[in-house]
Amino acid sequence: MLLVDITIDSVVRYASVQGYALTHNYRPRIIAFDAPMLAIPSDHGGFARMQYGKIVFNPLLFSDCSVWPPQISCPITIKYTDTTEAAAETVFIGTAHLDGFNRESISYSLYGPSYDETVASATAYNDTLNVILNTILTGIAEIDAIDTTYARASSPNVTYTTSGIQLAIELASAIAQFYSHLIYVSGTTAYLVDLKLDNGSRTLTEFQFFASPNYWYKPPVSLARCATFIRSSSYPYGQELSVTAYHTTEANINTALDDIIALENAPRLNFGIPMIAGNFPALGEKVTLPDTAHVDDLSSWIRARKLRYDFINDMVNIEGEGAVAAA
Amino acid sequence: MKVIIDTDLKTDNVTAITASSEDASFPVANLQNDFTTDLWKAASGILTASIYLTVSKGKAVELMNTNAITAEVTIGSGETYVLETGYALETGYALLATGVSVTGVYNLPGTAGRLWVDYTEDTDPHFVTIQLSALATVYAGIVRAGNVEEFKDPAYNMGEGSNDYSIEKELNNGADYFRKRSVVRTFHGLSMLETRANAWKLKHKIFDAVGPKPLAIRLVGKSTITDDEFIIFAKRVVPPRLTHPSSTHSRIDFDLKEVI
Repeated sequence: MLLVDITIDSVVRYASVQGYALTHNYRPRIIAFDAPMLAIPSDHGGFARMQYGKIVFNPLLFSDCSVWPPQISCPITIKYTDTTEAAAETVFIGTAHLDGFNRESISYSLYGPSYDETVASATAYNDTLNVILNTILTGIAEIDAIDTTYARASSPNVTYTTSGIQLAIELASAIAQFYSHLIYVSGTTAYLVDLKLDNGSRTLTEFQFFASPNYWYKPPVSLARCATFIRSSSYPYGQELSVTAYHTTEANINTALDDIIALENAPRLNFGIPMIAGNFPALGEKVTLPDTAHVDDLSSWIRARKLRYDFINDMVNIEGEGAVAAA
Repeated sequence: MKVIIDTDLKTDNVTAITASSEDASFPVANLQNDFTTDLWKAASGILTASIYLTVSKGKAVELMNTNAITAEVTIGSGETYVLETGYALETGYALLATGVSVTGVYNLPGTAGRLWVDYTEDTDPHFVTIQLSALATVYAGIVRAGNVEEFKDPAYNMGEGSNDYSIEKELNNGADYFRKRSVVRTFHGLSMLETRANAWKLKHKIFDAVGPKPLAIRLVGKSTITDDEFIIFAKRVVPPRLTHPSSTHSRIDFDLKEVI
C-alpha cells in the first residue's frame, strides 16, 4: 500500500491509490505516480540520488480541505506498507512542487534534499577514501554520519587538490566513482559501499521474480584513460573511457582503472520482484537467481545498482552487473 | 427498482447527520460523500454506536459497507412530551415519546454489509436513527435516506459482472502472482418497460440530472426478493437509453457500476 502524507494549508492530508482505513484515513486521491528510481550516476559508482517523476492527484484532495487553487509547494512524505500504518517504511521525505493542473488532475514534481554545500577551491586532500568522504559528506547539513561497513577493507588513498569551488556531494560522488564505490543516504547517514563487495545478499527462487529477466551487455570498454595513464581491457574493440584521477601514483591509478573496466564490462541483468514492505533490496545487495526458462538453465547474480519502485503496480525493478553462467 | 432521490434537490433528503461516537480521522460526514470505502468510524474500541439522521421527508434509508452484525433502525417525528416547570414524575413513571417506531433489527454479515430499510412515508421532517453493533470498532461507508422513486424491476436476464483491479503477473516459472485489490460489481443489460412518464423521470429527472454521481438503489423492489446483493450504491455507465415502441410505454436500457 502506497501511503502519502502531504501537508496542505499546514494540515497533513492522507492520500493513496486505493482507499485504506488505517490509523488515518488514506483516501483514494492519487491518480498516477511515476516510479521513483534510486541509481548511481555511472556503472562504476558515485552518489545514488533518488530520481522522482511526477505524482498526480485527484482534485478532491484539495476540495476535501477547501483549498483552491492548489498549493504550490507542499511538504510530502511517501511511505509503503503491507499491513499497518505503524509498520510503514518511509521511502521519501521532501517537497512536492506544483507542475500544473486541469479540471481532472493536479500534477506535482518531487524534490529531495538539495545538498548545496560546497568545497573551497585549492582544498588539498591526502588521506584514505573513508576519511576524506567522511569529511566531505558530514559537511553537508542533512548528513550526520558515514557508515563504511561495506567500504573496501583497505581503504584506498586519495590525493587530490580541488581546482575551483565544487559542490560537496558532486566531489564526493566523483571520488567514490574513481575508487568504484557508491554512496547512498538513508535518514541522516551516508553509506559508502565498495562495488566489489556485497551489501547484504538474497537468493531468489523462480517464484520470487517476474518473467522474464533481461540479460544484456554494453558495448565493451576497450581502454580506460586517466591523465597520462591508460589501461586496456581484454576487448581490443569497443569504446574508450576517460576518468578523472584522484591520486597521483601510477600503481594506484592503474588499480582503480582495472576495477572500473571490470565493472563496465560485466554482464548486466534487470528484472522485477514483488514489492514487499520491509524487504526492499538495498543498493549493492547481491541477488542470485536461477532461470530455467532458456534452452539450458542459468544461474546468475548481480549486485543492485539501480532500483525502480513501481508503487502503482507493487513491483521493484532491479538492475545491476554481475555474472551469468550455466546452472 | 427503488432509488433514493429527491428529484427537486437531485440528492437525498438528509439535512443533518451526527453520530454517538466518531474517530477524528473518520468523521461522520464521510457517510455523505460518494465513496463507500471512505469510512465513518466510531472511536477506537467502540463496538456499538448510533448514526442520527435528520431527514426532510422520506420513506427509506440505505447504508453501505459496514462491519456491523446488527442494525436497529428507529424512525421518529421528534415530538416529545416535556413537563412544565415545577412538575415531576412519580417514581417508576416515564414520559412516552410519540411518533417513534422501531422498524426492526436487521442481521448483517459483519463485513461489507448492505442495508436497505423501507418505512412508512413521512412527508415532514423526521429522524432516522441507526444503531450499529459490530465485533470490532464499528464503521460504515455511506448512508442515504429520503424520498424513494419506484420503477418496475429490470427484466429477467439482466447481467452481473465485475471489474477486478487486482494486480496479476506471471512469475519466471510460469506460476501466477497476484495482489488482491478492489473488485467492483457491474450490472449490464438492465431493461424495463415503463410508462412514458416514468421513463422520462428515470432518464431525465434522475440519471441525467445527477450524471455520474452514484445513487442509492434497490435494484429489485419486489418484496419477495430480499437478497442484500440487490442493494447497491452505483452510477450509470452511460446515460440510459430510451426506446418508444408504443404511444403509452417506453423501454429503458441502462447499465450500472458500483462505486467504491
